[in-house]
Amino acid sequence: MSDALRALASVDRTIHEPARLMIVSLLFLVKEADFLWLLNQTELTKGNLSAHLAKLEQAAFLQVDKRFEGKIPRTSYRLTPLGKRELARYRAAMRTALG
Amino acid sequence: MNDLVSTASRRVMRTTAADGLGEIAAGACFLPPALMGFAKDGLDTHSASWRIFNVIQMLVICPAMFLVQWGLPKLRNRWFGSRVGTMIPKAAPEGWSRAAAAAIVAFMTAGVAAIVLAPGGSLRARLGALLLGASTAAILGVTGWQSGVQRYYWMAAAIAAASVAIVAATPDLETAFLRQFLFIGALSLAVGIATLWRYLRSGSTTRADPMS
Repeated sequence: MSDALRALASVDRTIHEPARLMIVSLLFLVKEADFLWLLNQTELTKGNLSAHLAKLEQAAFLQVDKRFEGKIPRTSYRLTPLGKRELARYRAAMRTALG
Repeated sequence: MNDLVSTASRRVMRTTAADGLGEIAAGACFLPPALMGFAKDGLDTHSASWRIFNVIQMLVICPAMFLVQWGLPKLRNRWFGSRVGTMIPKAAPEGWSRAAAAAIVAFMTAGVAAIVLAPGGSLRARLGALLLGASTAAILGVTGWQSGVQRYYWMAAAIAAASVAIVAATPDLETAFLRQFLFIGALSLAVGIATLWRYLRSGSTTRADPMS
């Protein structure tokens, strides 16, 4: 098997799913974002986005921070160092495989 | 193949630019120094009031640029956070990219200073003034290309054309600089206000945090 195909076979499946890839790519660009911002950027449904975020959190790619600003609850998300590393690995693998 | 992060970045830039706050902030940075520069015309050069005016002008320019960099995302989150969500942008790039950016800015500043300070008549003055218009238009053009926002191209073309016209009509460097600042500031402010007006009139006004 060529190196390119081996790289493709080794990509992380949590990150490879299109919606999750979109979320991780968006969070890679910012320091921190809230649920509504991700909802507007990804154009996913609330339930769908929520499920993907939970999976990414489970894989320790995301760090979730729930807090109150006055009386308003805010849920914000940021990529963990592991999430950033996995995205970098994924991009490198795709670049190698697809040229 | 388009890199997925650059595609996401393009989308974020496009949605962020939709409110026109960036242009309003740019206008607020460019316009006051230009107006103050014209107001300074009536004062005797090197007089006490002229010196005070110069200090105030610098005190306006430097903090304004810092405030835009630091305050704009906070303002955007406060005003439009309930509508489009909030995000905190990444700090400036780190390591080599920050060093490279600092080196480019230092090189450009040194270049402009060398042109402006060197003796050599109106040709150098014209070149120095033209450089301001060209670099502003180039930055806007690159931003337009990165974000896919059409109005940045139009602004870049208008600034480049105005820059040539101003330099052709003004042999004196300071006046040419002030006129360019005035044009860039007024154009940015007008485009920003028009964009913000359109943005406020479009779509829903508020959305609560769906996770609450």
